[in-house]
Amino acid sequence: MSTPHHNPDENLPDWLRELRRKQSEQAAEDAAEQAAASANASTEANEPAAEQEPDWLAEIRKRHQADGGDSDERALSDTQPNRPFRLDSRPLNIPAFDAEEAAPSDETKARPEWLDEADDEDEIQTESDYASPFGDDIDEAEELEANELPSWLQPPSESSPKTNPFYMGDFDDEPMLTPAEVENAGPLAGLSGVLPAEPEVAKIGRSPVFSTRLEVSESQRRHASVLHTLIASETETREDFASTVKRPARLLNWLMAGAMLLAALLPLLNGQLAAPRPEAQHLPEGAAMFNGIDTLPAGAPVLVVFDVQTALYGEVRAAASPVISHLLDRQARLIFISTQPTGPALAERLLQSDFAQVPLVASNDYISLGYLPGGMAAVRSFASDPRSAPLSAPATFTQPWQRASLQAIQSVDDFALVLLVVSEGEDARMWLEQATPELSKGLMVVSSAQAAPLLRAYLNMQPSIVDGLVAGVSGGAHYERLRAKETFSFIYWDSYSYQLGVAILVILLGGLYGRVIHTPGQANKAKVSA
Amino acid sequence: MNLRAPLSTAVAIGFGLLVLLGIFIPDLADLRNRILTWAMLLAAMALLLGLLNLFQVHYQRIRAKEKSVYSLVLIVAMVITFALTLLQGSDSASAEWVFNYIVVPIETSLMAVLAISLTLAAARTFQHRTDLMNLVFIGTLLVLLLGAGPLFGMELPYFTGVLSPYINNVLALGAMRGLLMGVALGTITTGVRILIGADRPYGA
Repeated sequence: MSTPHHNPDENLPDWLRELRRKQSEQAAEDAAEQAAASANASTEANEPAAEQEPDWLAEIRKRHQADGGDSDERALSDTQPNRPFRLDSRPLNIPAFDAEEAAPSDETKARPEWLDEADDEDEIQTESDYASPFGDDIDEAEELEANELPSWLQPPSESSPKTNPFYMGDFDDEPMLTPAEVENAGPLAGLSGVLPAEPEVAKIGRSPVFSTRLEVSESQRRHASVLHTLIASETETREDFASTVKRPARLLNWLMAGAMLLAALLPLLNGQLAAPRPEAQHLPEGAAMFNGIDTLPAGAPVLVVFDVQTALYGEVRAAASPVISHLLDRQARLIFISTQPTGPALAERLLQSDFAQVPLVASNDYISLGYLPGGMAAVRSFASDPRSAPLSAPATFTQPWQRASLQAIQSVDDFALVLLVVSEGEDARMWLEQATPELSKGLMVVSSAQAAPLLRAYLNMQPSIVDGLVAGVSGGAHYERLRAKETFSFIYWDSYSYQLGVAILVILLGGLYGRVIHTPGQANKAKVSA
Repeated sequence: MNLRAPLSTAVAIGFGLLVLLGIFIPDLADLRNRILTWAMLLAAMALLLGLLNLFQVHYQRIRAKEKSVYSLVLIVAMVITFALTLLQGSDSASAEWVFNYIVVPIETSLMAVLAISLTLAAARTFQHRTDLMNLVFIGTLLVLLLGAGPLFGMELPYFTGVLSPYINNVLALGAMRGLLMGVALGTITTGVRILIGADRPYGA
């Protein structure tokens, strides 16, 4: 079924149809006149160009056309000396190719050949007139309408960073063809295409003033104030605590201290041993030490590490004297060394105060290697190579390694026994960890009571590290009980027993006073003041 | 260019690695011992430098008249002791007299005073705070004291034979072994951090 064709002019009135016909005829006449005018103008423009072409350019054109006829632009490239590299070799930054735009339009197809040739010659003429690498191109660009330029040739907008006078461009940017500016100041005034001098760059004026006031928040200011108060309080002289204690409390303190002193002194002054002796089975590690020393051969070299601090000498003496006595009874050759500066002097004090009558001590048949500086590194070095360790031996024991007792000693394992006498657990740990890798047997340790918990951790380990331990006054008393020879520790045993009892009473009564009497009173005062 | 920091770091790491390898490689044992000997000499010199620093600090206090009496006593005692030991030797009669009749009694007396002070502090604890941890602390202290020996000449078999050994050999021993394990791990971590230059206790 076919659709009937309707002429749209059928329904128009006669006067309107007549008007349309006249308009169509007028439009056809105008188009014919315009085409004739443009054809005449092209002919006139082409002929003078050919006539005005110089002879050398016409000769070059003929030669290149004879060679095969490359494009006109390429033919004329050698006619321009010192042509910028940028325009010769670098590819132009052409926007994305559009097939529809590139396809010849009907209008282009309809153009005559002579018109295309005229356009080509215009282009050749434009390039042959090239003189400045920037200026002429820019003038041409300015002549073009803005809406005809591709985006990459559009002048930079106001918001672009390139409008910043300090913007230097990216490294991969194409060289920008900025409009030439005429310099209006300085020695280059009147020239174009130069870097601007004054007043844009070297502008003379006052520099901006920045505030030196630190902007801090309220929270930061509060923290700074607290820190300032803390630091200031460190240098302040603190109020004497004794002056702040009230008189009844101070009297109570004196009473408790007096009771403890009496408990320690009275048994010593009385001279009677009333406290029961400690049971030997409560100290198995002491028994292990006793057995180890008791099996030493006569004259065996024993290294005694005397790392004792002066403040704890009294307690360590009560534990060490029974063991040293046992060693001297076994005719052991004692060699003392210490990593504490006061250690050699304390060892000498112990020998002279407790064993001055023993023949080995009286005849100076023992050796003091002196002070071993360097802490843990020194212990490691001494354990590896005792003879090369720098020692500060006393003057009476010069060249100790030349003595007969030490002739056979080449390493620390050559000693028959290594005995640690220490007041601090860390000193003992240093020797246990650094020296035991060089030993084929464990060490014996005499220590203060405060070091015992740490040293018990090394007991009964495989491989053996600590074979025997005697700690504190009670350890010394146990050891003397094993030897059935009560000479040193038992002098203090009763004082120790009474001191323990008084200390427990003081703590219990003091706690009761603080909980039952003192605290409710303070609470009532607080209520009243509130 | 400041070369101090990278140089000191390189020296520390290099010597640390040499000492460490000396433990595992017997051929490097002599080199390791030589390095350790140098460390011992440096430690001895550090002791002397500490003495000089002590002298300088108290000398400046005297000049500034800031607690100058104590500083003056310290400097005079230090100079006399140092001179006696230097001239006559560390085992001379005068040096031993200073040590045995001044140094040892003072330090031992201070420790005795500390024992009494700690006892009084424990007695006054409940005046300031009464909470669970305080009760645990005082309770443990009393149990240990009860088991430390006979009280007023009387034996308490349950404390000395059962409770105190249990606390010492089980509770305290377990806690101490855990502590030692932590110390060992911390020591390894610190050593590794120094060997890789993450920690620079030498101040570079």
